[in-house]
Amino acid sequence: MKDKKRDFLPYSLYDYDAYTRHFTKMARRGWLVEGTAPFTWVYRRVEPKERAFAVSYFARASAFDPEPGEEQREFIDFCQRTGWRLAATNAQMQVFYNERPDPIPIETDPALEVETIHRAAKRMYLPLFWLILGIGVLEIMANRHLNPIAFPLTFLADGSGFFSLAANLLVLLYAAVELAAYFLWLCRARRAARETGTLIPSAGHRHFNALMLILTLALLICSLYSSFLYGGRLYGLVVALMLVLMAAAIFISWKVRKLMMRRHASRTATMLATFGTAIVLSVVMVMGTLTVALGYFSDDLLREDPENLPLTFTDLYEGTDYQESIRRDGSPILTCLSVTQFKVPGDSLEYTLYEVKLPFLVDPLRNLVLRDLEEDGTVDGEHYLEADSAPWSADRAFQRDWQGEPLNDWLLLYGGRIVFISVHSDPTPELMTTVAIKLGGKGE
Amino acid sequence: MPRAKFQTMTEQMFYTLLCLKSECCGMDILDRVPEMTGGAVNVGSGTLYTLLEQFCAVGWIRETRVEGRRRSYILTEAGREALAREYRRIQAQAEDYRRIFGEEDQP
Repeated sequence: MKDKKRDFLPYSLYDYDAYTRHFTKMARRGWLVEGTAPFTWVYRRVEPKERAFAVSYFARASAFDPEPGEEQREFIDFCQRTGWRLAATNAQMQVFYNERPDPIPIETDPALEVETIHRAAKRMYLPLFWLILGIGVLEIMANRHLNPIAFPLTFLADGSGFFSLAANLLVLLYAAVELAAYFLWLCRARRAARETGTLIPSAGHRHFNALMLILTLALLICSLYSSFLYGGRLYGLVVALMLVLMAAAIFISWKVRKLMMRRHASRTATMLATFGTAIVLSVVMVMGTLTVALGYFSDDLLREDPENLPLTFTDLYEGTDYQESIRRDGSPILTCLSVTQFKVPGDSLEYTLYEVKLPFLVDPLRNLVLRDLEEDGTVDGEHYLEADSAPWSADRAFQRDWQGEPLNDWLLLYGGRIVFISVHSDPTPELMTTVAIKLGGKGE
Repeated sequence: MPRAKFQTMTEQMFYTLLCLKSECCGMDILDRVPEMTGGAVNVGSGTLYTLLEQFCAVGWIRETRVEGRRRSYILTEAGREALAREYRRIQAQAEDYRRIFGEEDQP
């Protein structure tokens, strides 16, 4: 028979009503809350009976104290005098239970209680959510290339990026709602305490919190799945490894904090060790990501079998001793294959093939590209002019232009395929026919 | 908490200060207030802890002794004046009641 139990509570720090109700219900079922673990509350088996619970806040308490300080102990002594026994703490939050019938509440002055909660919130809860909000904004600014308006094709074909951006936006929304809801509650609670002498319920938004968490996890899973499916198995493994490392960083930091606390290290030392571990592990992760992103290993990791490519250097030019770089990406909407093959000095071939995966989105996506071309003559930030599509056997053809100079860069539309191709010299009729067959699917 | 908040005392503030006419510690106050009021007023332990901190901060009480985790306090002159001011306010209210309803109509 299990003697310990854990659960995750998606409650806001100040939602003392929700915590109290939940702990009371658990105690009635024979589970008394006794502490916290990463993301969860821990319960131990006890005799099931009716116990009153109270969640109180002690602003000077810290999650990094090895044990309650003198002032906190005095506060706990006060509570014990009226029958309240400390069950668990989570930083400033103190959970008490009382087995006496109709005990005197710990807080009997609503105005003081609101200010006590606010003092505790200012210590960690509010700074944490301001930090999440700030990091969220910075991340979105750092991922400006994932801009659905300026770079629609890049955005739609970057499945993992799309899902990560959506997850980021959700986290941002979560932090904004949390802060807005808290300050709204604070204003209403202060007014009620002043005008009616009552404490209004803590009315958190636990269902919203739970929904945000589920959606964020779902998006991260989609991002991972997308990396495996479209970016190649090895790229997916790299992303999965990053997620595992993130979880490991959180777990190891938590273990370090517990170890320091068991050794009765000071609050400062425990904080330094915990944050130091988290920072070092994060730096290691960032370095790993940068290493991959900068492409030190990308050729090895992302190498594709050239036989799987629709068009290769040898289809157009002489020789096989060329260098190459191949990238695949995609989402359930759009897949993207980018190939660069070249000789130094010599011929070169560079193309990006987008394929619309959902037939009903072919026209809307083509129209999206054409709309941009008609509006300002650009696609994904590059300037194009309409060209004769017949030699390419394409539905439409556009030639890239740089300050009035036509370049050997072409945008070709073939049904659900959108091709960006650059060749070394002016395309010959044979080259254009080969491209139409191999990339436009005209020979299929 | 700004001093303005103490312009009108709650019952809990009033009785806490009253208990501190003579030196006593926080836990004594938890017992004395209900005794003094026949159970009509109870001070929650968290509320009392905050009140003692705030009364010390505004100088209405001062710490006299520390024995382990037991800290004892006593009312200061400023606290005594605040208490007297509150007494006069309550008394004025009682007199207003008497003036309106008269002595015979006491509840």
